[in-house]
Amino acid sequence: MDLTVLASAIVDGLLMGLVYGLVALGLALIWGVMNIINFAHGDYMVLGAYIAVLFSLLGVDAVYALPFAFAVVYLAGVATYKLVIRRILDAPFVSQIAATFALLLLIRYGVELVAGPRTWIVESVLSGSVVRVGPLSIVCSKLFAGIVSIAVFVVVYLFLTRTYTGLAVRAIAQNRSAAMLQGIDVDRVNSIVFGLGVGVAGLAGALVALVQPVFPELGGFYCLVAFVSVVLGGFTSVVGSFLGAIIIGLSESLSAVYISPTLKNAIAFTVFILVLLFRPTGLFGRFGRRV
Amino acid sequence: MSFPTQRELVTALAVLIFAIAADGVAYVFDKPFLANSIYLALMYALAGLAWNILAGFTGLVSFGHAVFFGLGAYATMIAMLHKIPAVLGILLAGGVGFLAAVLLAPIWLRLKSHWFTLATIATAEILKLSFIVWPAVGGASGLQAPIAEPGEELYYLYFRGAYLYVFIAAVLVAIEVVVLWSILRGPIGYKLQAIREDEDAAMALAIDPLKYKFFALAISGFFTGLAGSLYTIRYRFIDPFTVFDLISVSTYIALVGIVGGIYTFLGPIIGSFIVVPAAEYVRSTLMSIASRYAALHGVVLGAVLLIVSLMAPEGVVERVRAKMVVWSKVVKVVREWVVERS
Amino acid sequence: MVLHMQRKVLVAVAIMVVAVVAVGIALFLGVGGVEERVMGQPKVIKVGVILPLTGRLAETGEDLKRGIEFAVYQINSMGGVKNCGGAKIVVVWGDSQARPERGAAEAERLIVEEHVVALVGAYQSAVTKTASEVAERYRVPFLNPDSTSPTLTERGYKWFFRITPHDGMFVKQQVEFVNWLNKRCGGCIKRIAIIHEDSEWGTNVARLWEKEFSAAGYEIVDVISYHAPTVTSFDAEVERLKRSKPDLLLVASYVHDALLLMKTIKAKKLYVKAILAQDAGFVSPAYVSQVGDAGWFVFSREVFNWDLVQKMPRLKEVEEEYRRMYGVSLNGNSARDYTGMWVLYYALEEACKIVKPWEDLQKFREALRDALANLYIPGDKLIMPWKGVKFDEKGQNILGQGIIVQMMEDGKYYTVYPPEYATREPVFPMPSWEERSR
Repeated sequence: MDLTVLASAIVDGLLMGLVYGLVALGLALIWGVMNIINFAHGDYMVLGAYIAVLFSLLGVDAVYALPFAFAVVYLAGVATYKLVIRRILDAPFVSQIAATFALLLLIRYGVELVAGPRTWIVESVLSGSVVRVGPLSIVCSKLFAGIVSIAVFVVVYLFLTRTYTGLAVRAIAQNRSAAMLQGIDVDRVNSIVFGLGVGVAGLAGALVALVQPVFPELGGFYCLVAFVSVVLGGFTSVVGSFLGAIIIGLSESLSAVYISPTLKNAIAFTVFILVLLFRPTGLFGRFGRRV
Repeated sequence: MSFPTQRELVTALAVLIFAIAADGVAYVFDKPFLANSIYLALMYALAGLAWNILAGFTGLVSFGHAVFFGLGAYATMIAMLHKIPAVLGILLAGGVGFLAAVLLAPIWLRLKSHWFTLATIATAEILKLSFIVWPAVGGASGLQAPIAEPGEELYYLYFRGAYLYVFIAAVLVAIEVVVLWSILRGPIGYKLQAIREDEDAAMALAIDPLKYKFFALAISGFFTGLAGSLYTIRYRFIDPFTVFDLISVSTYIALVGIVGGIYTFLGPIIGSFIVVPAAEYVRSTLMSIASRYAALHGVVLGAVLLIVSLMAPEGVVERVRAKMVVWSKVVKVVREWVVERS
Repeated sequence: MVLHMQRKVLVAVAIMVVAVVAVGIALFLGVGGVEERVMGQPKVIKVGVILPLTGRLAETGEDLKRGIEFAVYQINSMGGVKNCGGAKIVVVWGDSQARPERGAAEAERLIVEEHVVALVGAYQSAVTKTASEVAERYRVPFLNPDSTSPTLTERGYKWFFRITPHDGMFVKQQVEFVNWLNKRCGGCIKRIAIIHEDSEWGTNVARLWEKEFSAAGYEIVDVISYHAPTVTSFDAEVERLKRSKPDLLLVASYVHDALLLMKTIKAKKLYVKAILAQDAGFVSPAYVSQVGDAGWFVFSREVFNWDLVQKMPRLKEVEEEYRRMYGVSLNGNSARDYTGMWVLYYALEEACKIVKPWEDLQKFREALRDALANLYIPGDKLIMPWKGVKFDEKGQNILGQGIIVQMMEDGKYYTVYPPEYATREPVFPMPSWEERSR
């Protein structure tokens, strides 16, 4: 019996961790390429979640909202880059924090202004049904969210490693001036990276909408989780932060079962500070730094 | 941050006198809301100045000053519940803030830039969650000070409205201004600035950056703790959700510094007196116009912050000063022209 | 140098003068609240209402606000406060933003700047604590229709009156209810598990549940808390509940966490004989409209329910009119704040016999306090299933009580307890998930 609980907690933690991973991945990508911390990252995710809400209000199954969530948030990201991020790339650290924090306020309360403060539930063909694997019951929408997360992760990974633009992205992350000298249009690549980073978070938001209720302030917690994951994964590493997010998801669900659910976040944050102190390059060291 | 000038000291004290004057006006015309806004502005100015010692002088941007604020608030509350005079409770808050900074320094000061910022956020969150599950400090229910008996008002600093509290806050800010001003004008200020400009060069001059960062953090903790005690003596109820809050405490403290400008001594005070009353006023006005759309407050705040960080990243004070330089040149030219003509 | 300093002082003084003048002008232009005192207009009685209109609890705040607005609309269209010459009640809103210090500041503003005769609010116990403390300082009656923390009436305040029963009273009634259920199945409930959010409210409720239910001889097999603002998944918690195998699950949740919990319980097919929730999220419109069959057969403690119309004729008219105006039904939150406004109205009528608010405001507030302390309203004048309203020396209404409702297969809550208000027999034990899907 106890084994069932353990297995179930692991499965749940893994699946939530995969979704966290999508959010964290974008944060790490932006951080790595532009050296900017996007404090509004969680709120771009919420934008995606509200697109799923919009779909279910229009009577369309929220599963179809996924590509639209990505596209809309991608465009919002490109627009944000052109209007805001580009101007603060070389600004003092404080201005960077202030600007992305301002974006957080604008998006979060803008969403509340339009959609109201209420909580929304998104229904889809997947909600309510479960898959049984032996004694385990896995919620379908969560399983779906996990699988999509893996798929998106693979696509992003291939994009970064197998395409010319991906190569350019990595070149800029390694050395911006050198990349410029090689004739890479840094500005264009940056706008793609920012759009991609928040777009993936937006897609994650639509997945989140399938597994949990949506409300305007939802992004705050996901953003914190993404930060912790990115630190675990070695800051600018896309692969590392994805793995880091899975660890956070697992530690959360396991500590909820075996320690105190209230303290589960405190535990995550403690791990976070310890890693900062003792493994400043992240848990995966150089392995994670390559991409 | 450049060295605080004498003019900045005078202006800072003038702002405080202005605050007290406005408080008097608010008292005469029965405007508690205004007095409360002034009080909050002073509270955030106190914490913002302390925050800026770190950000402006050592480049360490904290988004977790709720650590010191919250601990200070709890220290004062617990002192009051043990029937210790509130004035001592305020001092105790400073002491606790100082102690917390000293204890956190070995952890925080090993980190730089983003890492430091994230560690401060995480520390504040850990403290909040720990206080929620710690019954000895009231847990999630928080703590409320009892109503003072007649005759005990001064002992517990128990007054109606914000009017008298504004004096207490103004005195604390004045002390802070004078203390920080004299420290920063002295040799320590030079060394701090040297470290911020170029840490390696400073080390070459036999300045130990860690020592001075430690010093700045400890001072910052002390005064932010005092700010926390201001929350307690006025509102007399605290819980972990409020005093360790990421937005309304940690972020707001940083916000007043950023808007005012972290490269000036005056920045946080001016920033606080711009941001806090404006936010309060916008909120109350929006409320009476269209209560359904009060989320507009958040949007407006975000827009202001965005505009400041894009258009005036050096902060409002520097901006105005630059304008004033231009203005004084204009005046000079006009004067010369007039003199020539006459 | 001397000259130099003098100039600085001069500049400082000039800045000060300009600033003070500016503030003075701003004040006269009415910064921080618009005065509505226009000559020749009929006299009004201003009441301050503090609610979480924005922020984390804005959704609930809107509900509470509707209740207040509706009561005031009714009172005014019936001719206002008759003993004060038909003066209309005017509500001045204060937004607590769900934050205690904002609640206190708003209380102060309403009392001093808006000259309200009394304060009503403030839903969350933490905000009620600070706001009522301000009212006590200024000697203004504070009428609380909706905060249930037992500590509120244990502070020895003289100006604080609470209409709603508090959590201690609710929990005692819940124990009686579970005993009553237990008799119907021959003592099949023995093991109880608790899951609650970890703010003051949920924590207090859980503590009371533990105390009272173990005193009544039940075994508490598990207590799980969670942090509502950050909860993203209940899978692990539900698995833990499956392991501890309770007969009865007690839940204290807000809206989004309640939705998530019930969806997870359904998906994971956790079976317990009964689920008993503590109001709040479980009775909010967003929950009721969206939970679907995951919420069927869940019991909730309530203070009010729509089907009481069948048992209370007075409620029927009120409910119909309310629904016409707002398109939603009354619920426990809006009905309590609605009732709060009416209780205040009855006290206002009494106080107006002694002095009018525009003659001597503070004297009127005192008269209002005395009127509240001596008030007795029989149950048939209320829309609540109470024996009436009468305050004890702590300011607690001792005639209030809760009811227990159960969500049936049409997605609506029906009253099942106490028997004199029940419109349905409880479905107990809950049908298993397999039976339901058939």
